[in-house]
Amino acid sequence: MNLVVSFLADPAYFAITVGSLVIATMLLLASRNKQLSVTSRVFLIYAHIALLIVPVAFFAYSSGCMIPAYDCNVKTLLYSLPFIIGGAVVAAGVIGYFALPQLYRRRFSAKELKNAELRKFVSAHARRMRLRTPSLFLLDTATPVAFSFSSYKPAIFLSLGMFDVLSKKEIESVVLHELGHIKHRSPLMKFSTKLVKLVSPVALFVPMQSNLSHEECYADAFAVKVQGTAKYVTSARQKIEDFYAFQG
Amino acid sequence: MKEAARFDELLSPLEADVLRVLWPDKQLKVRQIYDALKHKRKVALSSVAVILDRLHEKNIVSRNVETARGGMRYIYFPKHDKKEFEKTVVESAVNKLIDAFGPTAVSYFNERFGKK
Repeated sequence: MNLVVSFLADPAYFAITVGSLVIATMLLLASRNKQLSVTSRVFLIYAHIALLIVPVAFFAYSSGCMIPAYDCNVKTLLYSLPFIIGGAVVAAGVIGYFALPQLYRRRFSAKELKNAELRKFVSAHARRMRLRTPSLFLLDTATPVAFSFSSYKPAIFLSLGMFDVLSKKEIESVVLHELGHIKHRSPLMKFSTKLVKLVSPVALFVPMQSNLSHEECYADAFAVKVQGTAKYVTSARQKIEDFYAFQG
Repeated sequence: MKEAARFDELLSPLEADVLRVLWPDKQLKVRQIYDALKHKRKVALSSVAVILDRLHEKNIVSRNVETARGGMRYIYFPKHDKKEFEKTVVESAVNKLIDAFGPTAVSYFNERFGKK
């Protein structure tokens, strides 16, 4: 505690700490602006995290072996702290971008979805949207679930429960919803929002839920636009909500 | 006893109705069971799917994955026929009474059924 007090007693370090926190908070608030593109908003989130590391880095370099009763192991640890935090965030980003679909595939023992008609549907729409055709995976659960990844190799996961309760057109609306997410890079937004909530104390005081609900609305609107009717998106959503309501 | 213990809880009315549809036909998809039930009672397709998943968790029905032209579906079928199932439920209830009351339950059964 004395370490922190003596660090903040220095006017220069105090200014750096307060300045970084203020700018970081402003960046996080700006990242909630729906008018900005997802890429810009995600950039603001990571800039927020980077700025939070700045005072930690200064704190580490200002202390070290100069403090009585602290040996060089503590110094090494403090020196490493900004790199550990920064490295963890970068590693999470890299793993998320390259490996997340495969990790999910293994975690849920998902199999490749062998449905020629649906694969054709997905690849035709992906081509039209100038996207890499996403891989389709099937989850062995009766609960209707669908999610996607817009990473290096995009992927859409659908559960068997979806096919049990939804009609063909409703399944197509779900797939279009997920393609909308991929096009809009919603999974990146969701991942970054969850990551910032995990690592940033400032994010605890900034409501970020609207980031996620906005992405859902966008994906629904996209599916409605392509299908030319809201009928199937609405009925699919209703059936899925009914399932969860009855499940309790 | 272990097998019987799986049927500890009584079935809900919808669970019983779903089983009644499954027993004669053996292997059915969610939608087929829903089609058979919807004329008899007010029920949603999603509710039938939930009930089947619940019966599967209770180990009363089994399911396989069927790959068809329209995609993949679960095919549900009962683990026991109606008679076997009823026998298991009775066995479970009797075992529960014996576990709870021990010799009292046994001597009651002797008195009650010994007369016949």
